[in-house]
Amino acid sequence: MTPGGRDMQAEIHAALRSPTLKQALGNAMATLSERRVAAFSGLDFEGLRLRVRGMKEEALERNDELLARTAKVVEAGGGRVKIAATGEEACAYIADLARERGVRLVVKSKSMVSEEIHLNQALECLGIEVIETDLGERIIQLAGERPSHLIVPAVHKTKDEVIALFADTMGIADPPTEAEDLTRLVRDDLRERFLRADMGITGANFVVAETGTLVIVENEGNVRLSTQLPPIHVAVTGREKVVERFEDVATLLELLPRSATGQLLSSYVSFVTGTPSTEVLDFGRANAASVTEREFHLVIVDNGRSAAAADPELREALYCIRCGACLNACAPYTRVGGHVYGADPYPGGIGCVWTYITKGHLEAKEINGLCTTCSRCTEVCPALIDIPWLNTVVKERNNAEFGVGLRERVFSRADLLGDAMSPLAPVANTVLSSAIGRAPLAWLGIDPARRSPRYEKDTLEAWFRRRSGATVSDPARRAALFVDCFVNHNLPQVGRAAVELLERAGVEVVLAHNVCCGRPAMSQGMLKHPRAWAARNLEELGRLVDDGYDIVCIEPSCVSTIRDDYRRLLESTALADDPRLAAVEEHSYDITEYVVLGARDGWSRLHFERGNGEFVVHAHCHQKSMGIGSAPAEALRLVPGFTVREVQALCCGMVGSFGYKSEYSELSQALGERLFDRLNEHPGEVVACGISCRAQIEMGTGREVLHPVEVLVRALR
Amino acid sequence: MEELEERLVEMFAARLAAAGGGIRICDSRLLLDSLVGTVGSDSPVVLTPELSWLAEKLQDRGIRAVVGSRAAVAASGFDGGLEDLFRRAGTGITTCLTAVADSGTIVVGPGGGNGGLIAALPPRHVGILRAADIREGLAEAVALVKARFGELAGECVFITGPSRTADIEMMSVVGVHGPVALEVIVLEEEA
Repeated sequence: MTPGGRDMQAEIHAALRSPTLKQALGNAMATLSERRVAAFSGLDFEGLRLRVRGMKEEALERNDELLARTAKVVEAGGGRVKIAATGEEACAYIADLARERGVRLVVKSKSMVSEEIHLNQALECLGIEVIETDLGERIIQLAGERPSHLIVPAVHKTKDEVIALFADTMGIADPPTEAEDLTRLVRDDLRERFLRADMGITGANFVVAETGTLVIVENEGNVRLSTQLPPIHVAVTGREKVVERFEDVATLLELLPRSATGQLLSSYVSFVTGTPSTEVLDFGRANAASVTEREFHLVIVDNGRSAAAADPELREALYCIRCGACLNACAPYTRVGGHVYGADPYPGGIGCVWTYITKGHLEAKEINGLCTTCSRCTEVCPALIDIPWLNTVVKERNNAEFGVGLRERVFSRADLLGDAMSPLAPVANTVLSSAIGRAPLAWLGIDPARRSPRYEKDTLEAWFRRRSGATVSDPARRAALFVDCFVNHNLPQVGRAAVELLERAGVEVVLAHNVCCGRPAMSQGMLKHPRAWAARNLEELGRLVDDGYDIVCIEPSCVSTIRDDYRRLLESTALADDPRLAAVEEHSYDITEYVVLGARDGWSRLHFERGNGEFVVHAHCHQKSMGIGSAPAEALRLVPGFTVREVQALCCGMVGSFGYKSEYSELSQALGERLFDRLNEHPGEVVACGISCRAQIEMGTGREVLHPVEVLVRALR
Repeated sequence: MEELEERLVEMFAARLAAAGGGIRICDSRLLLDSLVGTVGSDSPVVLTPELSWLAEKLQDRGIRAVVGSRAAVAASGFDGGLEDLFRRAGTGITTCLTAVADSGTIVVGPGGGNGGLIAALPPRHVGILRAADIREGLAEAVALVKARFGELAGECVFITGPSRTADIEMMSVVGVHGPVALEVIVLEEEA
């Protein structure tokens, strides 16, 4: 159990066993992802998202000023503005307004902020009827649930479940069975309520400070009716939604619908400025006699946002435009959905951070461990938010609040474990595979069904020290091999193959005197050591780069830590602007990437005889996030005659220590299933670069897994 | 210039069709015929005040066309109030401020009053768009809206196809709370 009282292992187990959830989520997530890709074809996604990022950064920097400007313009246009410090304050303002205006019926359009502050409950306490009008929101309102996705709130429900729900809650004996007729049913049911509503409540996707305009994006038309039919329109939004210029909206709209649903533009984008000019109508409103003029109220909610904006480590979460693309790309989310991987109301990895910002430690901690830091979310994020890093930051703070578990401490020190175990290798391995040796694992929270890694006595470092004379004459390049904890202690044969391969390519090889890259500790949210190690490695690797060495890594997670995370780890230290950082980032390579570059740029002296091997390759998540996902396959294709197939699958599910943890082990294996199935469609040898991918695939398929360098060295002989 | 306009009309038509909207391209002399064919005479037609001239012409053709403001309804001899008109109207007709060729989007403002509701409540919305008002990209249309911000009272809606949802098993269904059908009549200049 977590400190918040949720039993994540049980929740995950139930979600994985639910046949309807798998059916509902599986198709939807894939469909949304495919549509998104199609919608961006031919567009400069990188350029656009950099613009959005810059715009959001600037707007947040000047948030107070822009809010004041918004308030002034909206009030000049006859509207009223309430800036609420807390959710309670926002709810109280709206509840008071509703009471004063004799409101009995509220129609409401989808708004995550209103879910965040529990606005419906606040109004229902007063005996006011609140009707959600977005079809998905209406479904979950009838079901008494919370949204499980930012864009498709009822995505976890199958059509059959919706039919049963409507039969139950709408008093219909024989509900229709087609989605079209079910939709029509809701349209007819809600139309009368729209007409008689005393107040309409919406969210806002963007607020333009210079004109005081709200921009609201939707497909169903319920926003248009909510803003124009009832005489009182209340818009509730977070203070981070303010942008400065009207023109900014165009850029945001290029990205939001494409990212969210794969539409070029959503069916409707409403621009609302101040009090609407539409005439007041009366189809039988309760407050028809007392309310005869139009009113507009803009309620801007803080609820932790200002604190996050002032916090350099969290600020970028506020750039989120709530498109949900990160969820559709997230391996754990797409298997267990937003009720498990989510808190009230925000789902997924970004949701964990938002939960932390708006609610605090307890609820965020529950779901914090589900982020596998694969970075697929960041690849699709229209505001370029580093969601895995934010989750790591939240993890660190949760650790500070609740303390670090023994299991996490063990996993964080791959280096010490290796140093301790390798000298005891044969004995340690026997103990670790014995029943007695494994007994404490379950107690620690490690799944005893997982095989422990084998330790080797003859580490890569020991072998390299012992070796003599293997120098390269007139080297084409000079490279320092980054010694990673796992290759050094567990898979030294891969390290030896790497050294041999590089030397045959004409590269003079030394071993870097590095310490652990920091990834294993970072994954546990322990950042103190990784910060120190990043500084030490920067010293060592910077010196090597300065001396003309390239830095070559065997484990993709190490190189991704160096390239993508050292800047983050060091940004709060004196080394933040150190020029060596850029130099090391630029000269660090994944070994398969390096070998491919050598062939492409013509310095590699590798010469392969024709071979006839057959291989199926799985790329590491961090290779994909670094944009070198095809490097392992390309490296193998350097051998003429090799048949090389790449499987396009999500994460293998192991993700370092994730799959070893008892509460996530079942999910980890479920995540791997898709990959195992695709690998098993192909004969030949299985090739993967990451050590944890290797362990996961070996366990899931029963097939041996090789690193590409092992295959390439064999081909040279 | 004409070539550009033709290209934009073509692109707009293709994208609008892809978004599920209907489109007719005609010269302005044929507007009335085109509308009569579209709206039918089963239910009343509600138009924005700036289209009162068109309401008269439709009435001449036997269609119950009424301008959708309280004052106009009272003066029109319609058997009911503005609310009854909105309840019974089968079609709402508005003009379009501009359109985006890239996405097949029309932009509708208040149109002299109640334009937002006239385009949202009836099951069918007909937008009348001058070919010369079509812009290629979203940014140009947004800039145009900003330039005419005062007269719009800052109110408008960008419309791309009929209302739709995919909230049940991602099955795309047309016709939720907004119109089930969207028709755009693109007027090309008379030769």
